[in-house]
Amino acid sequence: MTETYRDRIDAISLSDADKASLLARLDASLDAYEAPPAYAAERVGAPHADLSVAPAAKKGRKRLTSAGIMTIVAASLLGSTAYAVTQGIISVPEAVSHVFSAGPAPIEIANRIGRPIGASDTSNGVTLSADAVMGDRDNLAVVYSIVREDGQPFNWPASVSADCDVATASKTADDFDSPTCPMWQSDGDDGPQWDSDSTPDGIERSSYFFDADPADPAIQYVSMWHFSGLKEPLAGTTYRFAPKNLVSTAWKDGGADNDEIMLAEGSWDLSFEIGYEDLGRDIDVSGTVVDNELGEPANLTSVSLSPLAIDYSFEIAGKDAFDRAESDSVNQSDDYLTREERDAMPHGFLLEDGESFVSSPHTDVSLRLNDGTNLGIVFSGLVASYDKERDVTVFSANAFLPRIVDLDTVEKVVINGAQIALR
Amino acid sequence: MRHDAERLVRDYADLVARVSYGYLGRLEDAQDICHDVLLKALVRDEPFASAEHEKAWMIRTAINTSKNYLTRAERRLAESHEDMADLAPAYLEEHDAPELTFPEGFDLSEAIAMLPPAQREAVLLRYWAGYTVAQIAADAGISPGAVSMRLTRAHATLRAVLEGACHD
Repeated sequence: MTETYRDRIDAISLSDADKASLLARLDASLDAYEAPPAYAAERVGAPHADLSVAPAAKKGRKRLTSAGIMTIVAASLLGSTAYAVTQGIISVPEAVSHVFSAGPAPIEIANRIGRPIGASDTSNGVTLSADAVMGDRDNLAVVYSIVREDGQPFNWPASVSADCDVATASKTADDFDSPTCPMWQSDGDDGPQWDSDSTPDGIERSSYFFDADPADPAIQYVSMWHFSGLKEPLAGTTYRFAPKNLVSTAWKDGGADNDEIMLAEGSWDLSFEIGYEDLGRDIDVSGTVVDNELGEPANLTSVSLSPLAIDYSFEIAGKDAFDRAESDSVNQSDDYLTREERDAMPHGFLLEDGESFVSSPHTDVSLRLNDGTNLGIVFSGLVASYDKERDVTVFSANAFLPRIVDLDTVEKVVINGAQIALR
Repeated sequence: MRHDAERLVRDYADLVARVSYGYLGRLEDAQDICHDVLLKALVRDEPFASAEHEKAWMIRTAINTSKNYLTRAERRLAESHEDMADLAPAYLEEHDAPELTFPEGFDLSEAIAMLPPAQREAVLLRYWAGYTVAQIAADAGISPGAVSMRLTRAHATLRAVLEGACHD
């Protein structure tokens, strides 16, 4: 005998007594509510009670919020309008610092980062500009600014700022809880423009918004990419970004209605040629053996490092390692685990294409710098795959560095104890 | 006004309680959530365009209100790897039609409690409210791939719990 999920849920109901109690509570709350409700036109003119009941208090808070916004707008209008336009266009080192939230980049690196020329578009008084593009052979980051030309800040409700993923000086992308707001209502075309024959095998993307100064008329948007199996070099490829409408799906004014909040309505269309210098280096790893995440030696097959990111891969003969990772992963979907619990697990979850995405608590990768300090690198995981032709299990991983790094300051890459000199 | 309240209680109290149970896996907060949701409907400024609109609003608001009843610790469970969703688009079709079935006596609330909130929401909308993957995606403001990933992971967890229950 089985029952469906729908049957089980549909079996839930409130008793008549519960409903009577609920109705009494609603009556009491309505009596205390000040505004004429949509459901009760006949109630217009009814006496309004105090604001001590929760919904009425929320209405009161709403008015206060509006008043607060008006104050901010008035204050910003005291400045010049020209301020708004120039303020949002950030310097390249500043843009880079937004990517890493770790201060200005070394000048010699910043000078080699591309600044797209003319990659700017204005719609309904809001200008979207690509301020910087940087990367290496397989990784790319683009920093945009979004600027209101009227000089006013993006005054989204306080609930959005509090609950959503807008980085500030004190809240980095790592602290985000909610990945869905704010967001572009449509990304449109976004990314390098390849024809079907030139599309790389794998594309991973992450992005976040950054509000360097909530009082100014600009916010920043960072889009980061990792490509595997590139058919063409990134440099020289046309990059296009054509988003529509910057919105939030967060709750309105702390309430329950999550209708979209329009932060900037418009359509933008930017194109530019990826023109940065590839600052990455392939490091000679021939003959290097590392302890892999499964506790057995593996042959390191590649390490590439740039000021932006690191990629590495290793191989283990046979299919055992793959099977083991797979079997350990099946019932360990990490969604219901805390980060601490997830980090404590030996393996992660199984991808549906037959690859095992293995969490990496035992991956200990760092950069040993010339000054003797270590820069730890956090990997979200390793991708495992089995190469039938060569009968090897291949693990690969990539990660953005925690901050931009001048490779001349790096002495070694350390992977699970194995030290690989850059020179 | 009382007439409106009576109608909403009659038409939607059970629905909101079901959403609350489906989302939270418990009934303790159902009355409070019903109160909050129906009150919001009663004082809503804009009329609903249709009965369907009203029902959809009730479901969405009940989910959001239930979300507000989650503890901070529970909210942290909502962390998910949405960025991985694009790697598994094939699951769109697998979850196109089936119903979730359970052995008699199986403790559904226990299984639901193991799902992170985002997955509970997807399961609730898919298998109780009957939304399509595309509708859930539009409703939640996420990609269909992300919805499919949530359903996939929910399936994996529920399957594991069911298998454990059957072996006990």
